[in-house]
Amino acid sequence: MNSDLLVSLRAKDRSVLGRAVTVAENGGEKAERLLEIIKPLSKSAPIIGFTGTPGSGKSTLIDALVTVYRKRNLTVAVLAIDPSSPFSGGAVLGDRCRMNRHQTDGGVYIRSLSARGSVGGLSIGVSRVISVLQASDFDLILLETVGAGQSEVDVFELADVCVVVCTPNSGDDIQAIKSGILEIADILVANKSDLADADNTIKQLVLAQNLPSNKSRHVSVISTIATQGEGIENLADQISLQVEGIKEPRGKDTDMQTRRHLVRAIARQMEQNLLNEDNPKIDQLCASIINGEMNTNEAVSIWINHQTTRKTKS
Amino acid sequence: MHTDSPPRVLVTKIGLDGHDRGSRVVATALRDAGMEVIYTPPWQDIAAVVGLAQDEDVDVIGISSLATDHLLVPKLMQALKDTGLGHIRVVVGGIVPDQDEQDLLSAGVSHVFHPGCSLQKITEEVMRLAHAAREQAPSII
Ligand SMILES: Nc1nc2c(ncn2[C@@H]2O[C@H](COP(=O)(O)OP(=O)(O)O)[C@@H](O)[C@H]2O)c(=O)[nH]1
Ligand SMILES: [Mg+2]
Repeated sequence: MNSDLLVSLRAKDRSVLGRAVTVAENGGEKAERLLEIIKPLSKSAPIIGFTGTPGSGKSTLIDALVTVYRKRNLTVAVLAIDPSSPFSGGAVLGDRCRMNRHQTDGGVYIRSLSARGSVGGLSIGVSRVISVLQASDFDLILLETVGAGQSEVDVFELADVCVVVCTPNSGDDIQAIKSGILEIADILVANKSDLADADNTIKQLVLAQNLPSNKSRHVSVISTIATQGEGIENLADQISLQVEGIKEPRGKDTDMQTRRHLVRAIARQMEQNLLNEDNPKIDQLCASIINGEMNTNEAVSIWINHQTTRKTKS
Repeated sequence: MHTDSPPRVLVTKIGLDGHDRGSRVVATALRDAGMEVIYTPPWQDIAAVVGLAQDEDVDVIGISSLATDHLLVPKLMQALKDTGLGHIRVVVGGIVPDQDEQDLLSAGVSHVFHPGCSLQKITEEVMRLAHAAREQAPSII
Protein backbone atom coordinates (compact mmCIF):
# COMPACT_ATOMS: atom_id res chain seq x y z
CA MET A 1 0.00 0.00 0.00
CA ASN A 2 2.86 2.36 0.81
CA SER A 3 4.45 1.75 -2.56
CA ASP A 4 1.06 2.44 -4.22
CA LEU A 5 0.98 5.73 -2.39
CA LEU A 6 4.43 6.64 -3.61
CA VAL A 7 3.61 5.72 -7.20
CA SER A 8 0.35 7.69 -7.12
CA LEU A 9 2.05 10.75 -5.70
CA ARG A 10 4.85 10.51 -8.23
CA ALA A 11 2.23 10.34 -10.99
CA LYS A 12 0.52 13.42 -9.53
CA ASP A 13 -2.74 11.49 -9.01
CA ARG A 14 -4.98 14.39 -8.05
CA SER A 15 -7.17 12.58 -5.52
CA VAL A 16 -4.24 11.02 -3.69
CA LEU A 17 -2.28 14.25 -3.77
CA GLY A 18 -5.27 16.20 -2.45
CA ARG A 19 -5.75 13.79 0.45
CA ALA A 20 -2.05 13.62 1.23
CA VAL A 21 -1.95 17.40 1.50
CA THR A 22 -4.86 17.29 3.96
CA VAL A 23 -3.11 14.69 6.10
CA ALA A 24 0.10 16.72 6.08
CA GLU A 25 -1.71 19.95 6.85
CA ASN A 26 -3.63 18.50 9.78
CA GLY A 27 -0.52 17.14 11.45
CA GLY A 28 -0.46 14.57 14.22
CA GLU A 29 0.51 10.94 14.07
CA LYS A 30 -0.89 10.31 10.58
CA ALA A 31 1.15 13.16 9.15
CA GLU A 32 4.31 11.80 10.80
CA ARG A 33 3.67 8.42 9.21
CA LEU A 34 3.03 9.99 5.80
CA LEU A 35 6.24 12.00 5.96
CA GLU A 36 8.17 8.89 6.92
CA ILE A 37 6.78 7.03 3.89
CA ILE A 38 7.48 9.78 1.36
CA LYS A 39 10.94 10.60 2.68
CA PRO A 40 12.80 8.53 0.06
CA LEU A 41 11.01 10.42 -2.73
CA SER A 42 11.66 13.92 -1.65
CA LYS A 43 13.47 16.02 -4.16
CA SER A 44 14.09 19.69 -3.78
CA ALA A 45 12.18 21.76 -6.27
CA PRO A 46 12.78 25.45 -5.67
CA ILE A 47 10.15 27.18 -3.56
CA ILE A 48 9.22 30.68 -4.70
CA GLY A 49 7.37 32.80 -2.15
CA PHE A 50 5.10 35.73 -3.08
CA THR A 51 3.94 38.25 -0.57
CA GLY A 52 2.39 41.72 -0.65
CA THR A 53 -0.71 43.48 0.60
CA PRO A 54 -4.13 42.02 -0.31
CA GLY A 55 -5.11 43.19 -3.78
CA SER A 56 -1.55 43.84 -4.95
CA GLY A 57 -2.02 41.16 -7.58
CA LYS A 58 -0.19 38.13 -6.16
CA SER A 59 -2.73 35.58 -7.39
CA THR A 60 -2.98 37.20 -10.83
CA LEU A 61 0.80 37.29 -11.06
CA ILE A 62 1.12 33.63 -10.09
CA ASP A 63 -1.53 32.73 -12.67
CA ALA A 64 0.44 34.50 -15.38
CA LEU A 65 3.71 32.92 -14.22
CA VAL A 66 2.19 29.45 -14.30
CA THR A 67 1.28 30.06 -17.95
CA VAL A 68 4.89 30.97 -18.69
CA TYR A 69 6.26 27.96 -16.82
CA ARG A 70 3.88 25.61 -18.60
CA LYS A 71 5.11 26.98 -21.93
CA ARG A 72 8.58 26.07 -20.74
CA ASN A 73 7.33 22.56 -19.98
CA LEU A 74 7.74 22.85 -16.22
CA THR A 75 5.19 21.42 -13.80
CA VAL A 76 4.05 23.73 -11.01
CA ALA A 77 2.40 23.41 -7.63
CA VAL A 78 0.80 26.48 -6.05
CA LEU A 79 -0.04 26.87 -2.36
CA ALA A 80 -2.27 29.87 -1.73
CA ILE A 81 -2.58 30.75 1.93
CA ASP A 82 -5.38 33.03 3.10
CA PRO A 83 -6.05 34.30 6.61
CA SER A 84 -8.79 32.68 8.64
CA SER A 85 -11.56 34.47 10.48
CA PRO A 86 -10.42 35.23 14.02
CA PHE A 87 -13.99 34.68 15.19
CA SER A 88 -15.00 31.34 13.73
CA GLY A 89 -11.71 29.86 12.52
CA GLY A 90 -13.37 29.42 9.13
CA ALA A 91 -12.13 31.00 5.91
CA VAL A 92 -13.19 31.91 2.40
CA LEU A 93 -10.34 30.86 0.14
CA GLY A 94 -10.66 32.69 -3.18
CA ASP A 95 -7.15 32.94 -4.58
CA ARG A 96 -7.73 30.30 -7.18
CA CYS A 97 -10.47 32.42 -8.72
CA ARG A 98 -7.61 34.15 -10.52
CA MET A 99 -5.98 30.88 -11.54
CA ASN A 100 -9.00 29.27 -13.11
CA ARG A 101 -7.55 28.68 -16.56
CA HIS A 102 -5.13 26.07 -15.20
CA GLN A 103 -7.88 24.04 -13.59
CA THR A 104 -7.84 21.10 -16.00
CA ASP A 105 -4.09 21.08 -16.67
CA GLY A 106 -2.54 17.91 -15.20
CA GLY A 107 0.85 19.64 -14.84
CA VAL A 108 -0.51 22.20 -12.38
CA TYR A 109 -1.68 21.56 -8.83
CA ILE A 110 -3.29 24.41 -6.91
CA ARG A 111 -4.23 24.15 -3.26
CA SER A 112 -5.86 26.74 -1.00
CA LEU A 113 -4.80 26.70 2.63
CA SER A 114 -6.23 28.59 5.55
CA ALA A 115 -3.89 30.09 8.11
CA ARG A 116 -6.19 28.46 10.70
CA GLY A 117 -5.50 31.18 13.20
CA SER A 118 -2.29 29.53 14.19
CA VAL A 119 0.29 31.40 16.22
CA GLY A 120 3.68 30.41 14.90
CA GLY A 121 2.47 26.96 13.89
CA LEU A 122 1.45 27.81 10.33
CA SER A 123 4.87 27.39 8.81
CA ILE A 124 5.25 23.95 10.38
CA GLY A 125 2.05 22.74 8.65
CA VAL A 126 3.02 24.38 5.39
CA SER A 127 6.46 22.80 5.42
CA ARG A 128 4.83 19.38 5.82
CA VAL A 129 2.59 20.14 2.84
CA ILE A 130 5.65 21.18 0.86
CA SER A 131 7.21 17.77 1.57
CA VAL A 132 4.19 16.14 -0.09
CA LEU A 133 4.55 18.40 -3.14
CA GLN A 134 8.26 17.58 -3.30
CA ALA A 135 7.38 13.89 -3.29
CA SER A 136 4.99 14.55 -6.17
CA ASP A 137 7.90 15.67 -8.28
CA PHE A 138 6.83 19.18 -9.27
CA ASP A 139 9.49 21.28 -10.93
CA LEU A 140 8.53 24.42 -9.03
CA ILE A 141 6.53 25.26 -5.93
CA LEU A 142 4.91 28.69 -5.66
CA LEU A 143 3.71 29.98 -2.31
CA GLU A 144 1.27 32.89 -1.92
CA THR A 145 0.96 34.50 1.50
CA VAL A 146 -0.53 37.73 2.75
CA GLY A 147 2.37 39.82 3.92
CA ALA A 148 0.98 40.63 7.33
CA GLY A 149 1.64 39.04 10.67
CA GLN A 150 4.59 37.13 12.01
CA SER A 151 3.29 33.69 11.05
CA GLU A 152 3.13 34.75 7.42
CA VAL A 153 6.65 36.12 7.52
CA ASP A 154 7.69 32.75 8.91
CA VAL A 155 6.00 30.98 6.00
CA PHE A 156 7.65 33.33 3.58
CA GLU A 157 10.97 32.27 4.98
CA LEU A 158 10.34 28.71 3.83
CA ALA A 159 10.88 30.04 0.30
CA ASP A 160 14.20 29.79 -1.51
CA VAL A 161 13.41 32.88 -3.53
CA CYS A 162 11.25 35.63 -2.03
CA VAL A 163 9.21 37.92 -4.28
CA VAL A 164 7.56 40.99 -2.75
CA VAL A 165 4.71 42.46 -4.81
CA CYS A 166 4.09 46.23 -4.58
CA THR A 167 1.67 48.52 -6.41
CA PRO A 168 1.58 52.24 -7.22
CA ASN A 169 -0.18 54.71 -4.98
CA SER A 170 -0.75 52.25 -2.23
CA GLY A 171 2.13 53.17 0.01
CA ASP A 172 3.29 49.60 -0.53
CA ASP A 173 6.79 50.77 -1.29
CA ILE A 174 6.97 52.63 2.01
CA GLN A 175 5.30 49.71 3.78
CA ALA A 176 7.83 47.31 2.35
CA ILE A 177 10.70 49.49 3.54
CA LYS A 178 9.26 49.93 7.00
CA SER A 179 8.22 46.34 7.56
CA GLY A 180 11.71 45.10 6.90
CA ILE A 181 10.39 42.71 4.32
CA LEU A 182 12.95 44.15 1.92
CA GLU A 183 15.56 42.38 3.98
CA ILE A 184 14.25 39.02 2.90
CA ALA A 185 13.09 40.02 -0.60
CA ASP A 186 15.17 38.66 -3.47
CA ILE A 187 12.97 40.24 -6.14
CA LEU A 188 10.71 43.27 -5.90
CA VAL A 189 7.81 43.34 -8.33
CA ALA A 190 6.20 46.68 -9.13
CA ASN A 191 2.89 45.30 -10.37
CA LYS A 192 0.04 47.26 -11.98
CA SER A 193 2.52 49.36 -13.94
CA ASP A 194 -0.38 50.28 -16.19
CA LEU A 195 -1.60 52.59 -13.42
CA ALA A 196 -0.59 56.22 -13.06
CA ASP A 197 2.41 56.92 -10.85
CA ALA A 198 3.92 53.50 -11.52
CA ASP A 199 7.27 55.04 -12.47
CA ASN A 200 7.48 56.67 -9.09
CA THR A 201 6.90 53.38 -7.28
CA ILE A 202 9.70 51.78 -9.22
CA LYS A 203 12.02 54.69 -8.40
CA GLN A 204 11.17 54.37 -4.71
CA LEU A 205 11.82 50.67 -4.73
CA VAL A 206 15.12 51.01 -6.56
CA LEU A 207 16.17 53.67 -4.07
CA ALA A 208 15.10 51.54 -1.15
CA GLN A 209 17.07 48.54 -2.26
CA ASN A 210 20.18 50.72 -2.31
CA LEU A 211 19.73 51.70 1.32
CA PRO A 212 22.85 51.14 3.45
CA SER A 213 21.04 48.48 5.48
CA ASN A 214 20.61 46.55 2.28
CA LYS A 215 24.10 47.04 0.85
CA SER A 216 25.23 43.48 0.78
CA ARG A 217 22.44 42.18 -1.40
CA HIS A 218 21.35 42.80 -4.90
CA VAL A 219 17.60 42.89 -5.20
CA SER A 220 16.17 43.30 -8.68
CA VAL A 221 13.12 45.44 -9.30
CA ILE A 222 10.81 44.25 -12.07
CA SER A 223 7.75 46.01 -13.34
CA THR A 224 4.78 43.93 -14.45
CA ILE A 225 1.18 44.15 -15.58
CA ALA A 226 -0.08 40.82 -14.31
CA THR A 227 -3.50 41.19 -15.90
CA GLN A 228 -1.93 41.56 -19.35
CA GLY A 229 0.90 39.09 -18.85
CA GLU A 230 3.44 41.86 -19.29
CA GLY A 231 6.86 41.54 -17.66
CA ILE A 232 6.12 37.98 -16.65
CA GLU A 233 8.74 36.31 -18.87
CA ASN A 234 11.27 38.69 -17.37
CA LEU A 235 10.12 37.81 -13.86
CA ALA A 236 10.39 34.09 -14.65
CA ASP A 237 13.95 34.64 -15.90
CA GLN A 238 14.91 36.59 -12.78
CA ILE A 239 13.49 33.84 -10.60
CA SER A 240 15.55 31.27 -12.54
CA LEU A 241 18.68 33.35 -12.01
CA GLN A 242 18.01 33.52 -8.28
CA VAL A 243 17.35 29.79 -8.18
CA GLU A 244 20.69 29.22 -9.90
CA GLY A 245 22.24 31.50 -7.30
CA ILE A 246 21.04 29.25 -4.49
CA LYS A 247 23.23 26.48 -5.84
CA GLU A 248 26.33 28.66 -5.94
CA PRO A 249 28.80 28.59 -3.06
CA ARG A 250 27.41 30.60 -0.19
CA GLY A 251 28.85 34.00 0.53
CA LYS A 252 28.92 35.95 3.72
CA ASP A 253 25.47 37.33 3.14
CA THR A 254 23.81 33.96 2.76
CA ASP A 255 25.64 32.84 5.89
CA MET A 256 23.82 35.60 7.70
CA GLN A 257 20.58 34.53 6.07
CA THR A 258 21.12 30.92 7.08
CA ARG A 259 21.86 32.06 10.60
CA ARG A 260 18.69 34.10 10.69
CA HIS A 261 16.62 31.22 9.33
CA LEU A 262 18.09 28.83 11.87
CA VAL A 263 17.59 31.13 14.82
CA ARG A 264 13.99 31.84 13.85
CA ALA A 265 13.30 28.14 13.38
CA ILE A 266 14.73 27.41 16.83
CA ALA A 267 12.64 30.22 18.30
CA ARG A 268 9.50 28.83 16.66
CA GLN A 269 10.14 25.36 17.97
CA MET A 270 10.86 26.63 21.48
CA GLU A 271 7.69 28.68 21.36
CA GLN A 272 5.67 25.57 20.52
CA ASN A 273 7.39 23.58 23.26
CA LEU A 274 6.87 26.22 25.91
CA LEU A 275 3.25 26.69 24.92
CA ASN A 276 2.43 22.99 24.98
CA GLU A 277 4.53 21.37 27.70
CA ASP A 278 3.98 21.53 31.45
CA ASN A 279 6.48 23.95 32.84
CA PRO A 280 6.19 25.00 36.49
CA LYS A 281 8.52 28.00 36.06
CA ILE A 282 6.38 29.40 33.22
CA ASP A 283 3.22 28.77 35.25
CA GLN A 284 4.77 30.60 38.19
CA LEU A 285 5.78 33.60 36.02
CA CYS A 286 2.31 33.75 34.44
CA ALA A 287 0.74 33.78 37.89
CA SER A 288 3.00 36.65 38.97
CA ILE A 289 2.07 38.67 35.86
CA ILE A 290 -1.63 38.05 36.40
CA ASN A 291 -1.33 39.04 40.07
CA GLY A 292 0.35 42.27 39.03
CA GLU A 293 3.60 41.42 40.82
CA MET A 294 5.67 41.96 37.66
CA ASN A 295 5.31 42.88 34.02
CA THR A 296 6.14 40.69 31.02
CA ASN A 297 9.59 42.21 30.53
CA GLU A 298 10.58 41.49 34.11
CA ALA A 299 9.30 37.97 33.74
CA VAL A 300 11.42 37.51 30.60
CA SER A 301 14.58 38.60 32.49
CA ILE A 302 13.81 36.22 35.32
CA TRP A 303 13.22 33.40 32.83
CA ILE A 304 16.51 34.02 31.05
CA ASN A 305 18.42 34.19 34.35
CA HIS A 306 16.72 31.00 35.41
CA GLN A 307 17.87 29.28 32.18
CA THR A 308 21.50 30.44 32.51
CA THR A 309 21.84 29.47 36.16
CA ARG A 310 20.38 26.07 35.33
CA LYS A 311 22.94 25.64 32.59
CA THR A 312 25.94 26.63 34.74
CA LYS A 313 24.83 24.22 37.48
CA SER A 314 24.75 21.22 35.16
CA MET B 1 -6.80 15.65 15.03
CA HIS B 2 -8.00 14.94 11.48
CA THR B 3 -11.66 14.87 12.46
CA ASP B 4 -11.19 18.17 14.28
CA SER B 5 -9.94 20.07 11.27
CA PRO B 6 -12.54 22.38 9.72
CA PRO B 7 -14.86 20.93 7.05
CA ARG B 8 -13.86 21.94 3.52
CA VAL B 9 -16.60 23.05 1.18
CA LEU B 10 -16.41 23.94 -2.50
CA VAL B 11 -18.93 26.64 -3.42
CA THR B 12 -19.27 26.96 -7.16
CA LYS B 13 -21.52 27.44 -10.16
CA ILE B 14 -21.76 25.34 -13.29
CA GLY B 15 -23.46 26.16 -16.58
CA LEU B 16 -24.12 29.55 -18.06
CA ASP B 17 -25.72 31.55 -15.26
CA GLY B 18 -23.32 34.12 -13.78
CA HIS B 19 -25.26 35.47 -10.81
CA ASP B 20 -23.13 34.79 -7.80
CA ARG B 21 -24.47 37.04 -5.07
CA GLY B 22 -26.35 34.17 -3.44
CA SER B 23 -23.33 31.91 -3.37
CA ARG B 24 -21.21 34.67 -1.84
CA VAL B 25 -23.67 35.08 1.01
CA VAL B 26 -23.71 31.33 1.62
CA ALA B 27 -19.89 31.15 1.44
CA THR B 28 -19.63 33.82 4.13
CA ALA B 29 -22.17 32.05 6.34
CA LEU B 30 -20.26 28.77 6.05
CA ARG B 31 -17.06 30.57 6.97
CA ASP B 32 -18.74 32.11 9.99
CA ALA B 33 -19.80 28.61 11.03
CA GLY B 34 -16.11 27.64 11.07
CA MET B 35 -15.78 25.97 7.68
CA GLU B 36 -13.10 26.42 5.02
CA VAL B 37 -14.81 27.51 1.83
CA ILE B 38 -13.12 27.28 -1.53
CA TYR B 39 -14.78 29.85 -3.71
CA THR B 40 -14.60 29.83 -7.51
CA PRO B 41 -15.83 32.00 -10.36
CA PRO B 42 -19.07 30.94 -12.11
CA TRP B 43 -19.22 29.00 -15.37
CA GLN B 44 -17.22 25.97 -14.28
CA ASP B 45 -17.63 22.86 -16.37
CA ILE B 46 -18.05 19.40 -14.87
CA ALA B 47 -14.41 18.38 -15.39
CA ALA B 48 -13.24 21.56 -13.66
CA VAL B 49 -15.48 20.95 -10.63
CA VAL B 50 -14.22 17.37 -10.30
CA GLY B 51 -10.61 18.63 -10.52
CA LEU B 52 -11.28 21.30 -7.91
CA ALA B 53 -12.84 18.74 -5.57
CA GLN B 54 -9.77 16.50 -5.93
CA ASP B 55 -7.17 19.24 -5.56
CA GLU B 56 -8.83 20.79 -2.55
CA ASP B 57 -9.94 17.50 -0.95
CA VAL B 58 -13.37 18.88 -0.11
CA ASP B 59 -16.08 17.17 1.92
CA VAL B 60 -19.06 18.96 0.38
CA ILE B 61 -19.76 20.64 -2.97
CA GLY B 62 -22.40 23.37 -3.00
CA ILE B 63 -23.80 24.22 -6.43
CA SER B 64 -25.77 27.41 -6.76
CA SER B 65 -28.32 27.42 -9.57
CA LEU B 66 -30.72 30.19 -10.42
CA ALA B 67 -31.48 29.23 -14.02
CA THR B 68 -31.43 25.71 -15.41
CA ASP B 69 -27.88 24.87 -14.37
CA HIS B 70 -29.06 22.28 -11.89
CA LEU B 71 -29.98 20.04 -14.83
CA LEU B 72 -26.23 19.40 -15.22
CA VAL B 73 -25.85 18.16 -11.66
CA PRO B 74 -26.69 14.47 -12.38
CA LYS B 75 -23.77 14.51 -14.83
CA LEU B 76 -21.55 15.88 -12.06
CA MET B 77 -22.73 13.14 -9.69
CA GLN B 78 -21.78 10.50 -12.25
CA ALA B 79 -18.38 12.12 -12.88
CA LEU B 80 -17.63 12.21 -9.13
CA LYS B 81 -18.48 8.52 -8.80
CA ASP B 82 -16.33 7.65 -11.82
CA THR B 83 -13.39 9.49 -10.26
CA GLY B 84 -13.68 7.70 -6.94
CA LEU B 85 -15.13 10.72 -5.17
CA GLY B 86 -18.46 9.11 -4.26
CA HIS B 87 -18.01 10.09 -0.60
CA ILE B 88 -18.29 13.81 -1.37
CA ARG B 89 -21.75 15.18 -0.54
CA VAL B 90 -23.37 17.50 -3.07
CA VAL B 91 -26.00 20.09 -2.25
CA VAL B 92 -27.83 22.42 -4.64
CA GLY B 93 -29.19 25.81 -3.69
CA GLY B 94 -31.38 28.17 -5.69
CA ILE B 95 -34.39 27.91 -7.90
CA VAL B 96 -35.19 24.25 -8.54
CA PRO B 97 -38.72 23.15 -9.58
CA ASP B 98 -40.24 20.29 -7.54
CA GLN B 99 -40.12 17.69 -10.31
CA ASP B 100 -36.43 18.45 -10.95
CA GLU B 101 -35.69 18.18 -7.24
CA GLN B 102 -36.83 14.56 -7.27
CA ASP B 103 -34.48 13.84 -10.17
CA LEU B 104 -31.57 15.47 -8.36
CA LEU B 105 -32.19 13.52 -5.17
CA SER B 106 -32.39 10.24 -7.04
CA ALA B 107 -29.14 11.13 -8.82
CA GLY B 108 -27.50 11.23 -5.37
CA VAL B 109 -27.73 14.90 -4.41
CA SER B 110 -27.96 15.13 -0.61
CA HIS B 111 -30.10 18.20 -0.26
CA VAL B 112 -31.79 20.95 -2.27
CA PHE B 113 -32.10 24.35 -0.57
CA HIS B 114 -34.90 26.60 -1.82
CA PRO B 115 -35.10 30.39 -1.71
CA GLY B 116 -36.05 31.56 1.76
CA CYS B 117 -34.22 28.70 3.46
CA SER B 118 -32.42 30.15 6.48
CA LEU B 119 -28.64 30.40 6.47
CA GLN B 120 -28.63 28.59 9.79
CA LYS B 121 -30.43 25.61 8.30
CA ILE B 122 -27.96 25.56 5.40
CA THR B 123 -24.86 25.71 7.60
CA GLU B 124 -26.19 23.03 9.96
CA GLU B 125 -26.99 20.69 7.10
CA VAL B 126 -23.65 21.27 5.34
CA MET B 127 -21.78 20.69 8.61
CA ARG B 128 -23.62 17.40 9.15
CA LEU B 129 -22.97 16.27 5.57
CA ALA B 130 -19.29 17.21 5.81
CA HIS B 131 -18.83 14.98 8.83
CA ALA B 132 -20.65 12.13 7.09
CA ALA B 133 -18.45 12.54 4.01
CA ARG B 134 -15.29 12.47 6.08
CA GLU B 135 -16.33 9.21 7.73
CA GLN B 136 -16.52 7.63 4.29
CA ALA B 137 -13.51 9.22 2.62
CA PRO B 138 -10.99 6.62 1.50
CA SER B 139 -7.85 6.68 3.60
CA ILE B 140 -4.47 6.93 1.91
CA ILE B 141 -2.49 5.93 4.95
N1 LIG C 1 -4.68 47.43 -13.41
C1 LIG C 1 -4.16 46.29 -12.97
N2 LIG C 1 -4.87 45.49 -12.15
C2 LIG C 1 -4.31 44.35 -11.71
C3 LIG C 1 -3.01 43.95 -12.09
N3 LIG C 1 -2.73 42.77 -11.48
C4 LIG C 1 -3.81 42.44 -10.74
N4 LIG C 1 -4.77 43.38 -10.89
C5 LIG C 1 -6.12 43.39 -10.25
O1 LIG C 1 -5.96 43.57 -8.86
C6 LIG C 1 -7.00 42.88 -8.16
C7 LIG C 1 -6.41 41.99 -7.10
O2 LIG C 1 -5.67 40.96 -7.68
P1 LIG C 1 -5.30 39.61 -6.91
O3 LIG C 1 -4.42 38.83 -7.82
O4 LIG C 1 -6.50 38.94 -6.39
O5 LIG C 1 -4.45 40.20 -5.68
P2 LIG C 1 -3.90 39.44 -4.36
O6 LIG C 1 -4.86 39.73 -3.27
O7 LIG C 1 -2.57 40.08 -4.10
O8 LIG C 1 -3.79 37.98 -4.69
C8 LIG C 1 -7.79 42.13 -9.21
O9 LIG C 1 -8.94 42.84 -9.52
C9 LIG C 1 -6.84 42.07 -10.38
O10 LIG C 1 -7.51 41.98 -11.62
C10 LIG C 1 -2.28 44.82 -12.99
O11 LIG C 1 -1.14 44.56 -13.37
N5 LIG C 1 -2.90 45.97 -13.39
MG1 LIG D 1 -4.60 36.31 -3.68
